Amino acid sequence: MQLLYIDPGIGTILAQIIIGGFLSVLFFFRQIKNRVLNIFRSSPPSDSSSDSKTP
Amino acid sequence: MIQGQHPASFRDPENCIITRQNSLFRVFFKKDSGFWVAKEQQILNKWIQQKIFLPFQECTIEEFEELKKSDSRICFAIKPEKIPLIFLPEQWIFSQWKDAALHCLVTQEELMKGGYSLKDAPVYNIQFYKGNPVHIDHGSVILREKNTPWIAYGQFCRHFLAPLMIMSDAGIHYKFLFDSFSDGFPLDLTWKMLSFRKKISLPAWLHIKIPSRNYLENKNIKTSTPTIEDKKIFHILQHLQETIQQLKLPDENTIWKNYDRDLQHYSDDDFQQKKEFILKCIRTLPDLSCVLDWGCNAGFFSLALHQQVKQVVAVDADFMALEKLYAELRKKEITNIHVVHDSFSRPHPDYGWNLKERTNPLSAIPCDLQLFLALYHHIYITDDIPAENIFRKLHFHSNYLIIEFIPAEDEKIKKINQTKNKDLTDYEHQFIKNLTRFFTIRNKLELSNKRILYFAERNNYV
Repeated sequence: MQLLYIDPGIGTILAQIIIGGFLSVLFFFRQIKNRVLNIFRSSPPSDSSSDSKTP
Repeated sequence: MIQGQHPASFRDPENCIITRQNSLFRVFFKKDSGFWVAKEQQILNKWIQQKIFLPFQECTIEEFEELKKSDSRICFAIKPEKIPLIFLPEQWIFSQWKDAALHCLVTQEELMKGGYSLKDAPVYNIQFYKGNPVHIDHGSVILREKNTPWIAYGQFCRHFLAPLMIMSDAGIHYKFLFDSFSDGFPLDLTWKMLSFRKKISLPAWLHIKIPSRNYLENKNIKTSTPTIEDKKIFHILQHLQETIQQLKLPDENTIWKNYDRDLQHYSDDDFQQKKEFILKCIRTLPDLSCVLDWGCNAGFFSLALHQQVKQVVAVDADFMALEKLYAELRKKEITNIHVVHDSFSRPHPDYGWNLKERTNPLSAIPCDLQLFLALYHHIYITDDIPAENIFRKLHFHSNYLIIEFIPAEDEKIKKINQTKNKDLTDYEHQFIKNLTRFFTIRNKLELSNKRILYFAERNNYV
C-alpha cells in the first residue's frame, strides 16, 4: 500500500479519464493529418511530429 | 522531528532530509519504496545520467549507523549532492518556471516508461543545478501499476500550469500569489482569473476547467482506483508539454529592459575602464567561490567575470532584463551564473510552516565578493534605506565589495529625485562615512562621468 501525503483528488483522477480520452481522439486525427501532409512534403517528416514521441 | 531534520522536509511520511556535520542525507523509512527498487534495478543511474535527478552518493556504513541512532525506522539513506542555494520558485523568472515545468513532465514520462511514477509534483521539487533544472526529491519515485492515473496530475496543474497560464496572461508579478497558495493556485480561482482569450483555448478547458469542476469531486469511486490506459496518460503529458512550450510572457516595457541599449551615460572608454577595473580587482582575489551581483540587469559584469569564479548569483528586480540574461546563458551554455528575481531593498519574505519551510536564501547568503554597481543611489534615494543599513547588510554578506558611487550632480540622480526632492546634502558624506566604517578601501577609480568605483575589504570590527 502506497502512503500518499498529497490528496490526488477524485476530480483530477476522473478528469484524466475524460481528458485522456479526448486527447487520444485529437492525436489520432492529428496523426492522420500529418501523414497526409507528409505525402505532399518533399522533406522527411520532422521529429516534432506529435505522435512520434508517444510510446 | 529527527535531530537535524530539514525544516522543509516533514510532509512525506516515507522519507526526509537530515543534515549532519555539513553533510546532507535523505533517509528512507521503507525498504520497498519505489526509489529503492529503481536503485536496485540500476534504472536510477540512467535517470541521473539523463540529468533528471540530482546525483547522489551511497552513504558509508559508519554514516548509516550514525543516522540510525537518531531514528530506528531508518532503513537506508543516500547522500545527495549539496545544492549550495535552494531558491524559492517566486525568485524564478518566467522562463525558469517554464523550464522547471517541462522538466517535471519529462521526469514523469521517463519514470512511466520504466514502470515508475512521481507521487507528487510540487514546484519545490525542482531546483536549478549547474544551469539546468533537476528533480531533487528522490523520495518522490514510486512503483506504478499499469493503466492507473497519474496521482500528481492535479498538483502539477496547480503548481506549474496554473501559475504559468496566469503569468502569461497578466504578467509575472502574479507569481507572488504563490506565497498565499503554497500548494499551488486553486484551479477554480485560476479559471476565474484567466482572460477571455485564454478561457476559450483548449488547454485551459482541459487542464484548468475540467479538473476544477466540483461535481467531479462528489462522484463516488467504487473500485479502489479507476483505470486509464497508459497511452492516454502519455497523451496528457505530451499535451501539457506542448501547452507549456507555447506559453509566453506578455511583452512589457520595463525600465531596465533595454538598459544595455540605452547606456548613454557611459562613454565606451568609461565602460571599458569600469569592466577592466572590476576584472583587475577580481584577479587579486584567488579562489573566489561565490560572487553576488546585486542589480545585475542583463548581466554584463556577471558574464564578464564568470570564468574566474565558481558561481555567480545574479540578482535583479527587473524580470525582463533577467529574461535577456537567462536566454544568453542558455545560448552560450553557461552553467555557473544563477539568475535570481529579487530585490536588495525588498527581499522576498520567508513563508510556510513556522516561516521556516520556505526561506529566502539571499537573506543569509555567504559569498566572497559583492558587486553593487550603480545601485546605491536607487536604494538610498528611491527606497529610502539609510546608508548605515545598506552598508551593514553588505558587510554581513561578504569580505569584499566593489561599489559604484554616483554623485548627486549626475543626470540619473536628478531624474530619479525630480519629483521626490530628497535632501541630498549629506548623501556623499554618508556614503564615505559608512563605506569606511564597514570596509577598508583597497582601490578606487574615477570615471570621466564623475562616477567612482571602490574596491573594499570588510572591516572585522565595526
